Amino acid sequence: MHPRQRSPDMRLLQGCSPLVVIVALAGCGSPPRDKGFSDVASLVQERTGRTVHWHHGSADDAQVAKAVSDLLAQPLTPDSAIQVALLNNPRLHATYQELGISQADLVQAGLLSNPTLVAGVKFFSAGPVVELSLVENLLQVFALPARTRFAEAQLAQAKATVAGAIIDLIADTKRAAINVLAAEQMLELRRTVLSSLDAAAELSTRIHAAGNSTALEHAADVAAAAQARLVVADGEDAVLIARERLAIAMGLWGADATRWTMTGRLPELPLADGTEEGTGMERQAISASLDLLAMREGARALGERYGIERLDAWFGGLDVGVMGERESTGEWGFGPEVGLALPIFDQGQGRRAAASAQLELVARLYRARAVELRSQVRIARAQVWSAYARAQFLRMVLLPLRARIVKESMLHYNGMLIGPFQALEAQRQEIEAGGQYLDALHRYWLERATLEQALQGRGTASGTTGSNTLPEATSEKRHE
Amino acid sequence: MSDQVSRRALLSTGSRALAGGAVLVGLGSRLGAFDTATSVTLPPAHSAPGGKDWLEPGQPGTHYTPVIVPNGTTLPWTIVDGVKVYHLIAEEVRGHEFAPGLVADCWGFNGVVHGPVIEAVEGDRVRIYVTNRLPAATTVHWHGVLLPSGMDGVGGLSQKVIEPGQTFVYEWTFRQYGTLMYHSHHDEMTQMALGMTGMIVVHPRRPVGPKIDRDFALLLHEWRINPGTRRPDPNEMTDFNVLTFNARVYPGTAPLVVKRGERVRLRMGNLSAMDHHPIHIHGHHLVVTGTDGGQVPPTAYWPETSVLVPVGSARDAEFVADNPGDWALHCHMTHHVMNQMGHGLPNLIGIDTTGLDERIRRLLPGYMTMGHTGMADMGEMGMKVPPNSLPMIGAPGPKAYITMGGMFTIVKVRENLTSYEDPGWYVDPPGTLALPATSEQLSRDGIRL
Repeated sequence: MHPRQRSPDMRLLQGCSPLVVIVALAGCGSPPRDKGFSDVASLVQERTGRTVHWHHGSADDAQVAKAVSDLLAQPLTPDSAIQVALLNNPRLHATYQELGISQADLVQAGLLSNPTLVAGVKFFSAGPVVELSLVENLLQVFALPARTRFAEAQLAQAKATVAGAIIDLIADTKRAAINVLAAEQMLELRRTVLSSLDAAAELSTRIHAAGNSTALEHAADVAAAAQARLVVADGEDAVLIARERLAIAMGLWGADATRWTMTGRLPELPLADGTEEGTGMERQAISASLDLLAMREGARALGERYGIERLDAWFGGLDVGVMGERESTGEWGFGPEVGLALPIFDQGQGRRAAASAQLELVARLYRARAVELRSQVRIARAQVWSAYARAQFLRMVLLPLRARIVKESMLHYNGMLIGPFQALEAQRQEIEAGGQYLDALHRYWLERATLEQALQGRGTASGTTGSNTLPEATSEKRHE
Repeated sequence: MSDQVSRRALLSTGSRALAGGAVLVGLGSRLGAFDTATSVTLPPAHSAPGGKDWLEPGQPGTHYTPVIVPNGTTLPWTIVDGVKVYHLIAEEVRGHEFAPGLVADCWGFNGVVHGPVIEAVEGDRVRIYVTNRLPAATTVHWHGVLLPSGMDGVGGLSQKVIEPGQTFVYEWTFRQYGTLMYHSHHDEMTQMALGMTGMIVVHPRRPVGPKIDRDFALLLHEWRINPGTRRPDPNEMTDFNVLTFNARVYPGTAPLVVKRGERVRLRMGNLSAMDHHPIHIHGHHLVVTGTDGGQVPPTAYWPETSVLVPVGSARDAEFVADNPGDWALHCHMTHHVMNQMGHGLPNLIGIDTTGLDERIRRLLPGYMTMGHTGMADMGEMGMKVPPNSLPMIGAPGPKAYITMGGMFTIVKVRENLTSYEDPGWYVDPPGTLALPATSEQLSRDGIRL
């Protein structure tokens, strides 16, 4: 690069050429906008096996909208609901912008601050005196690598945060979908109980119409059916709420929010409960943990900061530049200028101590989080075992017993040894037991999703769902 | 009073009359305040130690025609030094069949439920060994028998109880004749409910009254056997569901086969826990001729179509089978001629059943509303019921299904019989069978429908 001026100022500029080179190098270009997201995508891919994309631009948006409406046109499954959520959840996409912000910060960190040009004119009778000065703070030149690394560390933290938000959304959507399936199945069950009580009430009405029973007996039978209607209404409310929670996760708007369907049943209990790796799980949770990753990057950033603080203490005020002056005689004089802050009073002891204490704090917090994580994994695993065992017991012991009671009741009914009301009651109790199994199965799949979330690096504080993408969902209590 | 005295019997007993020149007493009874009827004068009771107060053991054919026990047996005996010796074994009897399809584990004697009929003759000395193979202590009380206090069989009062494994011996002289019974008298509620009962038939030493051609012994009893179980419940007090003649329910009761013109005696003993039974006969009338307390004088014979047999009593009722046909003989309590019904059912008579079955079948496959027109169809529907049970089952009859069970049997009176095996169903002579009215009959007799 050649200076353009051809004047005695050329010497100035040649003296400034190292400065210019530094300026030229520092300000050159910016990292590709999406490089950070592909790291996020691979963090998510390693942990969940899912691929995610960040769409920008109207062409991409149109593609996304089409993909979403294609998915919504079919009855949803938990998996397709997760796909919709990843494409469409606005909060998640808001979170992606943090990457942009951190990347911009990285770019900013790589830029040298601008030199200051001071120019002044003093008018003497003999002629004007012009003073020029061009000064650059040299510390931040030396500190540039550290500042860049600091910003990189913060970017890495942001990536961990965004990847965490994605994994949380996947888990929350899965749980919300499971809740929808469970609520719908439970409603169906409650409707069957109602139809049984309705049939009994109808029979009671016919018996009463024939003059064979008292008004008291009849009223009691009709009341039982009426009571069951309330239970069904509760079930319908539960379905509505569960559907809304899933719709929020999927980011649906307007008519889309209510038009979708989800058919099918909660998946049956698998042959193995899903906790086969045993203590390998704790290791996996620690190594996959995005919290710990963010904390490591945070510690790295702190370390860089500590270095910067140290540098700053000694070289905080180091300005280098060029000054020039035009005498009233018309003669120009140029020369270098150096400014140096003397670290006499303040050697940055306070700031350095603070930085060092912060590092220590982060180290302790890291260990605390690791301990918590392992415990959370153990809790999650135990919850999965317990839910599985309960569901297994209900399916293999209790439900067959209830079925046998119905079968034996029908033999007794056929022999006119018990009446139709007792036979219907036995069948209702079989359904109630089915409801218990459904609850247990529901809980199993929820706990399993939570365990998977922990193994994917997002163990939560209390072992329950926790994220800022969804309001908390709990499984509804059954009313009697 | 006409009576038939067998000359041979007269002479044989007369020749054996003991010292003292016993006078043969005629028929009828000289019912003093505490005497019971005897057909002969017996040696005085409680004679000197070593002295006999009994007669020679009575023999079938000579002294009596053996009693007929439908579905049952008679206890065999041997003679040892002029004493009739019997052996009763109190034991569990597994797998007693009340009727095909209902089997239960009961308690009885000598492998049967009820115990075998003990048959003897007035004046016999009997010695009965009772071996206890039950898991509980027991005794045997001889209901209606006049005997020494220590032989009476009331556990704790008359005797020590017979512990499991022990054998006791009872001995007395029959100083009476008639229909008597025997049963456990220790923990009666339990042991009698499980079947520890039987009958005793003591024939008169000399024939008394009109000759009996067919002499039947029927022991009435009631049980609670929950359908699907195989053990009677001795705790039941009011809701018995299995009612039996000789421990059988219809269609498991053997018919009483009788030739036309024969004189029939029904000896009916009732050891039910709580229920009396009015035993009703069709086509004939009964006269009550005796009880377990003795003989009814002929002038006091009381006519009945249903003879009420109270709990703890026996009734002898006689009739002449002059009306050929198949005649029901049954307890007239309507619930006693049903097998194992439930009593907790809602009353469905007369309800509108439209659409009910389809609606309930969606919840209970195979459901069918029953009972809205009564229970007659139960037996023929063939629905799956609890195993080992006979809920309201009857049997196919010659004209249609007979919807009876429990205490029900059939007296078959026939003109010409070569044997007393079941002769099959009665064939009605023309003009003696109720048939649907033909239109000619209706119009001839001015019946408008």
